[in-house]
Amino acid sequence: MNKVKINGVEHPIDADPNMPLLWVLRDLLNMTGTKFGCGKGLCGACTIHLNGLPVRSCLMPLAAAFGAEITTIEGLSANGDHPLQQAWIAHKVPQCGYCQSGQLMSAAALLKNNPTPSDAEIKDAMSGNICRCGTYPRIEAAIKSVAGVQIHQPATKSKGAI
Amino acid sequence: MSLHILILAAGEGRRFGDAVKQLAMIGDKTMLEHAVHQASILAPARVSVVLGFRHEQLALLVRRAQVVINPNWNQGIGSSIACGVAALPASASAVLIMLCDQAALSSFDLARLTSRYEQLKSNDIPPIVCASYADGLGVPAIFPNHYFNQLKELNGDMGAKHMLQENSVISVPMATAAIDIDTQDQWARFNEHKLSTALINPRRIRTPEGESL
Repeated sequence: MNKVKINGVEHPIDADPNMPLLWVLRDLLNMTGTKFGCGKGLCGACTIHLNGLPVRSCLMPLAAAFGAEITTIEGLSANGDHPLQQAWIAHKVPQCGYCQSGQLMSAAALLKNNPTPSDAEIKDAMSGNICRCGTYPRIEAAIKSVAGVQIHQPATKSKGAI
Repeated sequence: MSLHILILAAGEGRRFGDAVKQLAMIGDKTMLEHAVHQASILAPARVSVVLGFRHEQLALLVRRAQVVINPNWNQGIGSSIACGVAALPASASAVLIMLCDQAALSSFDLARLTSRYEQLKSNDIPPIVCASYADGLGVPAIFPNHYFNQLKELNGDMGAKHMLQENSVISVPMATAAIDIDTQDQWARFNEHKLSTALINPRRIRTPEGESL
């Protein structure tokens, strides 16, 4: 059986290799923090990290995860205390909240690869994540408040894993 | 350090006749938008498009991707590759080069290629990973950054294909990569073909037996 490493934990998965990762996460592993938005890779709600880089899981086949490291919102930090998550709370970013796990994953990948992004780089990296409530100004403010802060992203995580 | 995707869309598409090929509809999008979309699913905010012919018009359609204008586009594909690679950010560890008119390529195909590359990128010298199909090896192909200088020296109509032959490369079977749209006739047939249905719902594209990642 194929194994997929998610948030540091190996999961045996018995499914069609073409099943989108979002289905695997939500329906097979019951990890529902990652959201289904449009199902067409257009809205960013389903953003996860594949080897540290953001991808849209709704259109990413399970097979792409074989041998790769997947991080979802559940694994972004051990206790929900990633600096971005703290900034999200401090800035009261979410309104309805549906898109926010995708927003956080895009923002976390940005800061991991570019700890001090310019305004334009933030806009660029976040432009594929749509928020119907229009929380964009707060998202940008929260990201800027964390930019430059040392971020420790755990490679593995036990809490919350199956 | 991350992988970037470079879409080549600078050509005139002369064989397509008077219509602008990049604007031909594939499913519900223009060919150009379709290519950018498929690439963006895999590499949000890390997609560049090289434009040349009608770039003022076409650039208006490019969203969430960097536009690189090749003023020498009419010299050929080599000049567009060189121009596009030269414009990559210093943080690019590798570039996946694909053609805008490879209309059957989906994000699934690109993911198969990048997954293979991920497994190999920690090698002392990461190899080129490219598609293979009936005609042999070709794009989409991933070039690690130690090939960037060589790519930047390409010019004229000579693409990067010779680099796939001169180096030891890892190939991934990809039947969809064999389809590129050159003529109106091919375009019409493509849209009639069931692949266009699959494009609207990419989950219907199946990985052929034995094509593991």
